[in-house]
Amino acid sequence: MAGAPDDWADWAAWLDQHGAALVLLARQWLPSHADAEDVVQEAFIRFWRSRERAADPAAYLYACVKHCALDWQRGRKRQARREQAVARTEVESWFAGPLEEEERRETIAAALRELPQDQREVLVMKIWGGLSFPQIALALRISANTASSRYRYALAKLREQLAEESIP
Amino acid sequence: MKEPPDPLEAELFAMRPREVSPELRRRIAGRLGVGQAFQPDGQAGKPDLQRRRWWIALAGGLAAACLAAILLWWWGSRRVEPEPIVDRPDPAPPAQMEDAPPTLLAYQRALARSPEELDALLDKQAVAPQESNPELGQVGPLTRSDAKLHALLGDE
Repeated sequence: MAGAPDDWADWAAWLDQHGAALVLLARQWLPSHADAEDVVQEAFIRFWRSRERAADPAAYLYACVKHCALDWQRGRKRQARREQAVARTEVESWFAGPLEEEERRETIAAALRELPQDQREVLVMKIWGGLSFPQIALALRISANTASSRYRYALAKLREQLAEESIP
Repeated sequence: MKEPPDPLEAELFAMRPREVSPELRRRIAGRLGVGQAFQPDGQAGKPDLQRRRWWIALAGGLAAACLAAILLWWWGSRRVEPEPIVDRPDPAPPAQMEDAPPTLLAYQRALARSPEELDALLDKQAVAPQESNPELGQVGPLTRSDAKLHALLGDE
């Protein structure tokens, strides 16, 4: 099964394999890395305690993160914290890597932020989560064909935006 | 025929999102109650242990309740067990007191039937003591015959 670590009982292996992608997915709805980690923590605990009931654990894990992120977004108690975090959104990078590639990474990250949310979440799950289209379909409760279409549209739009960026 | 990899797709695959912080790993480990190394406060395994104790307590309680229910049922079934049926002879009727004097009711009934019957009952009663207990004649003060009384008094 794609996206599932070999050692089923090792929660750390799940976190190692999916943690970064989960935080990136949560960032689609949350303004800061710290908030995204809070959400991933809650989602991961929920996933781990009920993973045996899931038809596809990896898809379920991503669905948990999206659900918790939307819950967080709806939480009115965090309103003030969210407003403060919005101010530092721009300075927190989504990606890690060599310093000399930082500009390119930020360009791509900016293009990603411009994508429609439904396309961006498919892209994150597919590229950095390593999920298959049927798994993405399960996580988002859409058809596999829809997931595939959104992925293609996302790539096309990214390509278009990056081409515009490269034009001086 | 397999399509050549898209350069943009390949570039995206090569990018790595920011790793999760060690703090997140510690917090998850703490919540899951695993990994002593992830828990600086030495609370490793506490939630699991508590959960395990709770389950043991629940299982023990259920077992005790079942045992109590079985005992109650057993004692209840013993208590309502029907007693063996024993044929007891009917108590013997009280012996007729042949020599007992007639009661007031007997006199009233006899009078209600006829005065003659009452007379007959009175006569029977007057005779009955002497017949029933002949010794009374020897111990009573007036049981001696007239002839013996006259002889004692010296009368001719």
